Amino acid sequence: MLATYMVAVTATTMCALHPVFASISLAGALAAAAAIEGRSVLGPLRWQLPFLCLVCLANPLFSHRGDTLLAQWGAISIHLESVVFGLCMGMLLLASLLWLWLAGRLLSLDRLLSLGSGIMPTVGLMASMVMRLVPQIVSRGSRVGAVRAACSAAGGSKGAVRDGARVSGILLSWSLEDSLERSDAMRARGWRAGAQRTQYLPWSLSLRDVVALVLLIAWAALDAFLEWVACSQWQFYPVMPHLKVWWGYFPHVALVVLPLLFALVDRAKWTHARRVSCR
Amino acid sequence: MPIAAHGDAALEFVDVSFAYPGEADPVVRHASASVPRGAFALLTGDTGSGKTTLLRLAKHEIVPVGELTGTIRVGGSDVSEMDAQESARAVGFVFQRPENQIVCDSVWHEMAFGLENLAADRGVMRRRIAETCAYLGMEPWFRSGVDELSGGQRQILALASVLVMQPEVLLLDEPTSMLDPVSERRFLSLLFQLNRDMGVTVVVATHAPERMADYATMRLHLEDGRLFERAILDETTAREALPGGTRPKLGSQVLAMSDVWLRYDRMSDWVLRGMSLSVGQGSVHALVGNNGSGKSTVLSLMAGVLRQQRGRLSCALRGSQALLPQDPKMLLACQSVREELAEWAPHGKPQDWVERLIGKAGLQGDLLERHPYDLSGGQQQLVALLKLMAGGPQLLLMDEPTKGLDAPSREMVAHMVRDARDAGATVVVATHDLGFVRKVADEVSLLFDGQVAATEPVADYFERAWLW
Repeated sequence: MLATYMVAVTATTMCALHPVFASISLAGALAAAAAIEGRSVLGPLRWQLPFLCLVCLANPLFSHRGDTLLAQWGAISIHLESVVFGLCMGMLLLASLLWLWLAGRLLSLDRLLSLGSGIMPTVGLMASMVMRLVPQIVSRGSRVGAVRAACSAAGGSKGAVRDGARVSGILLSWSLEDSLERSDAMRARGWRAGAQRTQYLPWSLSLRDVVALVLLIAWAALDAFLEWVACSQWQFYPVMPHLKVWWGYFPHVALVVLPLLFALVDRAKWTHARRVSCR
Repeated sequence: MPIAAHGDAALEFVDVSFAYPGEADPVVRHASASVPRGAFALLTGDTGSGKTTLLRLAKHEIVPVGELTGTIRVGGSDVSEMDAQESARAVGFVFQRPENQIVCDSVWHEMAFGLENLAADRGVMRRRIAETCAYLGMEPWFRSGVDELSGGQRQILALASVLVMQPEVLLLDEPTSMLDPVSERRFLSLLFQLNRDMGVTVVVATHAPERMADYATMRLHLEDGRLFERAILDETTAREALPGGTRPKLGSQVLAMSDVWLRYDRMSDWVLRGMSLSVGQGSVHALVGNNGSGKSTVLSLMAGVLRQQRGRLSCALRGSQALLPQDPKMLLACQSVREELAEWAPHGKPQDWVERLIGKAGLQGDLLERHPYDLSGGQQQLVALLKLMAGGPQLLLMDEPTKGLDAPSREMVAHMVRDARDAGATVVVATHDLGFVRKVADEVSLLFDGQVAATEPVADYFERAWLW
């Protein structure tokens, strides 16, 4: 559910290079990130905001298209259209980055893999093993190196290349040995026992979830269609048309404002509950 | 507990022999034994005597490659005729190292792994997992990732992920040799409960039968490939006494830490909080304490592998030190034991050197040509230790040197430590093994909460010790 929402919102954000849609997406992403993650949103913003400014400034310097001249220094001319284009592009990038960041915070790898493992069980399992074993090998490597370096009585270091070769040799045979034992452990628990594997989920999909999922997908499709309509009527160069108030922006507003709404409702419920229990 | 009649055996070995390919001597010779339903059986034997091999023979999917004769029956049916699904259901196997048998990255997924393989229905899975978790008290960490678990929790998870398949017979290969005494006791009491409440037949390969003596109903002993039934406790498992005689007086201080603070990350908790410790020249200093009390960290600091953030540490023997890590595999880099021992041999005659080492440690000569990974865990530990002694280190730092060793190998390690000390070396050993501490240590420090809770001469320490 959450994954679908994140995919929908990120996709509709990325595909609409349109001033109104881009500002809605950015405002929504900022509000959602602030409401859900609180102050920690400042972390990614620290590098994303300068990035936004850079995109805004760089575009008019390199692109000299557009008809409305704002300023001119010698050969360099700044046009309104290219400034707006840079701004839209920057907002779009920033909003997409924020949504992706939020998705990364909210969705654990485990959940993503379990979504995929219904279709490809072995691939899902392999991916989760790789995610676990790579850090293990890296930390083992540094420990082996440290232990060998610490044995000064036995001659200690014999040059970086030879030491490195020794350490990787140790890691290789160690990991191979481990993998033999692990595959034994897997077979001991019926791996490849011949049956079609089933899948355990620690959460369940209720009818309500299914209805909500269908509604969400339909809503996102409507939004995508309206975006397509808006974008096909919009052009940056040579002259931008005037923007009008249009009902078609509403579905996107509703889509991006959802997390903020949920967060606010949740907070209100808790405050209410506390007040009731204090009475 | 009523022990069933002989005919009602859960696990039966009938004239079983097994030899690894290319080896003349079989590991197991004409072994016959019967474990009654509901029994709690111990399988004992020296390091490398074939306990693991024998256990694996009873689990069809993981039978080692080699020549097998004789019959093994589980619940009356021949193991070699069971298909993979039946065998997975009938026999559960828990390996020695919990981290190597964990497949998935979260606790819930690991528990479901076996049932998923057997194509269990989702409703059945939910119920079995719920029951197993509740029984083993795993709810608080059911949704954790496996990397966040302690060693004891991992071994409980390994047990749980086998139990969800509800096996009739549970085989465990030295399940507690990697645990500290507190986690070990907890694990064993769970195992005992399981045996008594659920009637699961349990066979545990172990080198420390005295810890399970209260629970066990029988003991099988492997010696020279032959299997006997033995009394659960005998003369080999008697409690070790403090050695008599006077201890050498402690020499001048060669290693000192004062008010040392250390953490692994700026945002994480302090591991050492103002640790002060000093080690005298030519003494054996033991560090004891539970997992997480900072023992290994202190050793790494002393070895110069880590650096403290605050406080002072001085080590006069930095140029001639050796560090024995918890896992001997960290030191084993060569293709055979002979090369391994010769790698750090003093210049000149590596051949003589290796012969002398082997003679001293009482290892058999035929081990020399084997790959270090083909040795048992205990033998690997001995080889790693022998290798370290090559340079004649003045400071020997050892992290859990007796982990996974049987009594004779522990005795051998103790002997080597005493020899090193008599030759003038200073030894610091971090360990859970208090029997070993009694044997070799001059001074004991109890670590708790990143500090030294007490440092005392060994006799005083054990006289006043309440828990340890």
